[in-house]
Amino acid sequence: MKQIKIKKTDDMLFYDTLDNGLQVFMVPKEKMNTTFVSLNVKYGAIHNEFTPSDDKKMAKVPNGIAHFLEHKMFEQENGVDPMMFYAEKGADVNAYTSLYNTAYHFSCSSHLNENLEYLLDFVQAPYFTDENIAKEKGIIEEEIKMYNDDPYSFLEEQIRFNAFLNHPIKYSIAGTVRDINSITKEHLYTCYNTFYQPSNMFLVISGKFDPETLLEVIKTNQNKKDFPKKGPIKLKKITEDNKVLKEYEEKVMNVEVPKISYGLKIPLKPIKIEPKKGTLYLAIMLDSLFGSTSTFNEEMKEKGYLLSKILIETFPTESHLLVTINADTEYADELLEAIKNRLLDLSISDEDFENKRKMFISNGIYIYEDVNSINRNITNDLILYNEYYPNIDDILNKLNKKEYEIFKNSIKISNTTTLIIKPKTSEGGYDVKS
Amino acid sequence: MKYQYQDMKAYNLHLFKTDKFKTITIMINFRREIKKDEITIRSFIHLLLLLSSKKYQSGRILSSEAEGLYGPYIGANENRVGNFALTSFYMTMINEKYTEAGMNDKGMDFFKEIIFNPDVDGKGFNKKSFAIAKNEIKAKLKSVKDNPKYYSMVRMLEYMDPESPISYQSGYLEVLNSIDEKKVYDYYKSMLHSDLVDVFILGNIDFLDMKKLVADMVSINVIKKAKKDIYINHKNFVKRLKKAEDEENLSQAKLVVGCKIGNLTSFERKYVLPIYSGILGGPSYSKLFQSVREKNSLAYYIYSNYRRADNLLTISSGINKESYNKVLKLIKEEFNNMSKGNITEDELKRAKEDMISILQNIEDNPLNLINNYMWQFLYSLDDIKMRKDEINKVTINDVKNISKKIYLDTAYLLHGGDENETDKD
Repeated sequence: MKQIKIKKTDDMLFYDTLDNGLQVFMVPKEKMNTTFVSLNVKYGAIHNEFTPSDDKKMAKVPNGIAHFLEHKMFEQENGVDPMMFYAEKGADVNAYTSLYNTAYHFSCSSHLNENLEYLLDFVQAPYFTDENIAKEKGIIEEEIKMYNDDPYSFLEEQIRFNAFLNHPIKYSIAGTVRDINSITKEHLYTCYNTFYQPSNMFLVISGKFDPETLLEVIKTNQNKKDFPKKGPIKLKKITEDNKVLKEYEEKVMNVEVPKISYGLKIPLKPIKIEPKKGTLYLAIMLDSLFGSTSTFNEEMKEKGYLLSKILIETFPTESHLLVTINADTEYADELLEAIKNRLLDLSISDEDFENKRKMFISNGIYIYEDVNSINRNITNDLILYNEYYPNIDDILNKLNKKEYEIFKNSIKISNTTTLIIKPKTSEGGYDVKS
Repeated sequence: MKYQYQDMKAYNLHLFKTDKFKTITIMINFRREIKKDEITIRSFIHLLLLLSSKKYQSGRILSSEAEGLYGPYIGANENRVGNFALTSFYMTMINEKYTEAGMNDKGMDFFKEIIFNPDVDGKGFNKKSFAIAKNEIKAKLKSVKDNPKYYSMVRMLEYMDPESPISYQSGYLEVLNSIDEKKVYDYYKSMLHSDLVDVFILGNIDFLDMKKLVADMVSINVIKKAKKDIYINHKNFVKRLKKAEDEENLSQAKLVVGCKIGNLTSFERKYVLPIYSGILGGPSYSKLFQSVREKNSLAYYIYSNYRRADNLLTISSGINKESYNKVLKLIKEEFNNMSKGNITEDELKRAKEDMISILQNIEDNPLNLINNYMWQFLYSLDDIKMRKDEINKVTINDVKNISKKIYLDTAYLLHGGDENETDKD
């Protein structure tokens, strides 16, 4: 087992790769009561075309299947419900599916070894039947409908749909009701056997525990199981054009306050900076342009154009990065115009650059205050960059204005998409400074 | 962790010394008996103070200053807790041991500037900041319907008891235009003068230093005492379940069931009712989750919530409109099971373990810890250690017996009518 010191906080990161390929990352926090454990699969909603592990041909599976599979992993052949197992141990278990990954996690303050073993056991023992699949469809249908009624979920999903032509990132994580009704037991086994291999998974553990003991528990558990040897996972190569599907859409919804989303579909090819660094430069840029210290934010609020904070999200793919800029506003046209103008010049001041960098450095300390955020931090890095950056300060300290200029000049904002959600009737009447 | 409490007459001081965290967290609360006609004006305060101050005259300048202090997390919120209106300001900053010397004092100074040195010109708050806050409040009040889960709860409470504070909203659009920057400033001054104030500080701190610092920060010298009890006591308990519904353009119907609770003993309030709620409608192990979701696939979520200060138990679920009667029947069945004592030792154990694990989690986060002590103080709860012991004393019989004190009152359905599509492609 290897280890690295987190310089900023004096914590230690322990990590190892088991014989079966499972990676383990551990950050012990002696003074905490609880431990947070997540078992992650590098398989999310976007991986819906691939060569199944027992086949040679590419196969396409229904959208929403990664999420469906996540629900169904809580079904066990012996009839024991993992939720009940954890409830009796006072542990809080849950799971989520994102565009990029699936995670099963729990937090507990006792019975850690047992809970951890059980996590490995239930995620490594699929049990799908026609009946238990039929039962889940009703539940997921209600989950989909819940999101359909949430204007912010709609905004996020529809802007992705409008920005991309082919890439499966354009679809909703849960799929549509029609998608999930077409899912079969066979689909689930195909996806499970292809993606839920130890070498495509990793464990992250943060909190109160002894790393040596825990690694032994994991190794012993894994050595008891046979995992058939499989070749590397072959995903379909997706060619995605720079163009967006739809440049403009207005949608009338059951909302009282209008909302906008402006999506920038940025090609990654011209950006020659390593991804983690690029992400940091981008964050500095967007926060300087639109964050709470920006003149943009101040002006828009004073004019009455902005009724919320600007919310920015990023969705990377192999070829493009979608940046979405969302806000609540009664003055959609004016605000969009101002956003577009602001994006004409991506220069930022030396002061902003330094302040944001300082912020990111201190952010590392806040993350290490909380076992949950440590876990999420490690998971995010591994999913997005395939490696973890424990000492982010080392990178932050190397960032400089000169390289920012190069980065800035490689950002091409020529393909954009606009989405406006409008209420049925609008009264306006906000205080506007002319 | 060492805890020191002191009644400073003008405010209560709560200090916590622990080396568990690398941050220092401070929270200041203002509270008074809630009055319906004060809610809207009061809601300006927590927004305005964070928008600008005398020293930092715009949101942009204020945020830049915060960045220079290694980005403390600053926040504020306004809530109703039972009979009280509660305004909280909090800040978490990195202890200077991990940044640079002098930062602790600078951070505290910054917090003081925000709360006690407001951006006032002449007799009122800064006009620009006032307009921004007013727009935000207006948007928030208008968009209550944008969140059907929340809106259905608001409506259920209105049907339940339109006169009681339980149905008060977070503000009222119709009075918004009668409020100006001067009136808000007068209200702010009255808050300093008459609200009950609590100050909490947690971190690797020195008690004496902090006492001096707070004395200097909170320049209030009025002696105050709470007159009103925080708990809302219901007077009317109905015999038959009331039913109400509204139609909105929704694809999923929201069902909310509200129950009034009467006459709890202190032990019941602190321990038995939370366990009752856990067994009935807690996470996945609960009766409602198992029955409505797992056995009948009728919902993705269903849970109960014990609103302690309101003496209410509520159940929320997202369902298909057509399943309304079926789901309501299942809910009533589970209430019956509770009152008959059809509860297994396993169910009791899971609810207890769940409560204990929540307490364990609280101790791992500074803001949760401070909040916990705030609730402990407001609700006169036992300390965490004692709570862990007392929880285990609750028996199935205790849970069964408390059923008599829970009165099903209102079932409310917010639905999309008969024509809404259920799928989106």
